[in-house]
This record gives sequence, C-alpha cells and structure tokens, in this order.
Amino acid sequence: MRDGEFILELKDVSRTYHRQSGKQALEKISLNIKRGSLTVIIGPSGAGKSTLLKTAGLLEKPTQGSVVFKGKETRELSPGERAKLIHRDIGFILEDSNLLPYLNLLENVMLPMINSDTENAKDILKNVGLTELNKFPEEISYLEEQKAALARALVNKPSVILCDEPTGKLDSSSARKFMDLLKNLKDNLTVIIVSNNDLLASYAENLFYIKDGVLKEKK
Amino acid sequence: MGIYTLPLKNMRRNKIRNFSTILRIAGGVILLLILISSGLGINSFVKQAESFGETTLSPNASQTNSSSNQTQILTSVVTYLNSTFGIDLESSPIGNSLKNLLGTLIYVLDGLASIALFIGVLGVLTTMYFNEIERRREVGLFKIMGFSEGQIFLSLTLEGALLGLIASIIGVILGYIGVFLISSVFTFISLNIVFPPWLILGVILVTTFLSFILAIYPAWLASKNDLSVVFR
Repeated sequence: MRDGEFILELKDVSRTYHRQSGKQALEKISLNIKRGSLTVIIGPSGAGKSTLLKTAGLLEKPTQGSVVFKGKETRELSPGERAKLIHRDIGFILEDSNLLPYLNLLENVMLPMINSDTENAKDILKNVGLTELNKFPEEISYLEEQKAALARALVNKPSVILCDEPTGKLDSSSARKFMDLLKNLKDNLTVIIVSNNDLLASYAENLFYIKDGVLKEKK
Repeated sequence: MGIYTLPLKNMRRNKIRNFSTILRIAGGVILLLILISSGLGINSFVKQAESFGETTLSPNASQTNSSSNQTQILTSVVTYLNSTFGIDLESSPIGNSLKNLLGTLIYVLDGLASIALFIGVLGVLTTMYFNEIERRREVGLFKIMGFSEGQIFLSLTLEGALLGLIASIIGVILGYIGVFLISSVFTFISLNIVFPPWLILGVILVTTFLSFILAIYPAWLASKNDLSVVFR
C-alpha cells in the first residue's frame, strides 16, 4: 500500500438509495483526509452525514465515484476483504454505544480484538478512565458508555476512527469531556466526526458542512 | 476471536428462553434414551432366547465357551428363560410369534424415540429465530466491527449447537437416572435395559449435530441483516 499524504480519499462520490425517485443522499462528494487529522462534518438530520460515514468507512459502496483507503481503490474489494480491512484499520463510534448488555465492560472491549490480549484491553480502558471493568452497561452513565465505545474502537489500533454523533446522548458538559478525551488519545490517529452539534466544530482541524448530500468546506 | 466466545456468553441473556429450549431438548433426549435402551434390552433378551435354543439343541455348547464366567451367565439365562416360558423359543410357534412381536416393538420404540428427539430439537429453530429478531442491532454492530457474514453465521450456528450440547448432556444424565429408576422399579418385567457407552456418545453427537443443522437457517437470516440499524 502507498504511504501517501492522504489516508482516505473520496472522489466524486454519489450515493442514491432509491434509484427510481432519483433522490441522492450524497452528490459528487470529493474529500481528502490527511493522516492524523481531526475532521468534523456538521449538518442537520437527513443531510447525508451517516451515509457519508458509512461510505467512507467502507460499509457501503458508492453508487458512483470511488473511495481510496490507504492508497488502495476499494470498489473491487470482495465483501470478505472489505470486512478484514474494516476490522484491522477502522474503528466506529456511534450515537448509541451499542455495548452488549450481557457482557461486562472488559468483555465488550475485547469483543472485536484480533489478538485476545486482556492486558492491552485493560490498558485501553484505563486510558479512557474506566477502572471498574466488571460493570455491565446498564450500571454506567452515558458518558462512561461512550468511553467504553471509544476503548472498543481503539482496541485493534486502527488507522482511522469514524464517529457518528458521538455526543448525541450526552449533555454539553459530558460532550466536552468526551471530546477532550478523544483529542488527547488521538495521537497519530485520523478522526472523522459527523454531527449536528455545533459544539464539536471547535475541535476540528478541518471543518465541513453538509446539507442535502452536498459537502462544503469551512475555510 | 471474541465473536466465537459469544455463544457461551449469550447463555446469560434470555435465560428463560434458553432454559426452556434446553429442557425441551433434554426431554427428547431422555425419552430417546429410555426407549432405545428398552429396545436394546428387548433385543438382547431375544438374542439370549436364541442362544437358549442353541443350548438345548447342542448340549455341548456351554463346554465350548472358554470363559467359565460366560458359561455361568448362559446357565443363569437358560434357567431364567426356562422358568419364564418353559419352552424352546426357536422351535415353539408361540416363541417365534413372541420373538417377532418383540422385534416389531424395537422398531416402534426406536421410531418413537426419534420423533421425541426431533420434536425436542425443533425448539432450537424457534429459539434461534427469536434470537435473530432480537439481535438485529447486534449483528449490525458485528458488521461495523469488521466481522464478515461468514463469521457472524458461524458464531450463531455454534450457539444452536451449544444449546443442543448442553441439553444432550443434561438429558443423558437424567435419562441414565431415569433408566436406572425404571429398571429398579419395574423389576417384575424382568427385561434388561441396556445403556452402552456408544449410546451416550451417539445421542450427544446426534443431538448437537441436529441442533447445529436447525440453527443454520435462522443464523443465515441473521447474518444478512442490514447494518444501518445501528446508525439510527
């Protein structure tokens, strides 16, 4: 794989869900994401934020255009190859933590691990500020849930973290705490956040706005 | 990989549903064991009766046995059959009819046993189907973690097989106790109830395999779930 300046490149990406109605969720979006950058994309509900994230995260193929990840064109990848790439290189954090209720925090974080290294999982949980590893999701706050989701996303040491409304269930104080934590732990990671919360714009190194599937950069 | 340990951990949730499924399968296993072991007992009884016939036709037969222990058993069986029927099963028309009747009974018992087990194991299908409906969000999560549909499918079918394995082990233990109790309570029937090791192993393997097979369709359905559900 080519070790270029951009880790992720979207080239004229369009996404249509209902071909007959012709409504496009994304319209010819071009976006180059630098390695180690923190990109925030702000937009209202239904603007195409989640679709953009799913396409950038290789979960969905674009109807038109191409997605280049680490210098590699992803369109021709088989479902198995895409899954492997996601497993090793991409971590997701969503509005709902989606922690499995019947697993404790440590088990939840270890779930996606490629190598079941318990000590590594414990270290990551400690780094996000969670020490009571035997607690179950129903016993912790939303902020702690999102911290656990962050730990789970980091556990395979991915290159990119993609966040969809990561502070959607948090009050403004907790949202700031979560964003501060994410920024501190980011290190060389590339982070892309989509949200309708303007608060997150202040954390952006690159800021974009999206509306009706059209992306515009805030200079 | 974490996803393959989930079937075991998933036993913690839906405890009532899993428990009732295990009970149903175990019930089938118990019936299967009791009926098959009774059938085997009848079979061994018929064979003993046949050897009794050979003994009467060939008085020196007992001398050909090298083991004195075998001779002792044969003698006691001969004595027992003599006292029960007072006839030679091989040459008597009544004995032949009885032998045929017992042979048919074995088939009937085996047939009933298979049906009982199958009905019990069908519980896996409904349980896995309900699990599939409940776990759409979970499957979506597995997909965004980068697990392939094949890995998700395998994890879910293993869950079905695990239900069968646990139930069959419980069923074998309870079945063994049941067979022991029946044979000790109904001593007046005087039929052997045979419980060989291959039957135990066979029942566990067949039940686990059947459960695995029945989990395939719900697991396949679940693995095809759309991941978009986790983004809502």
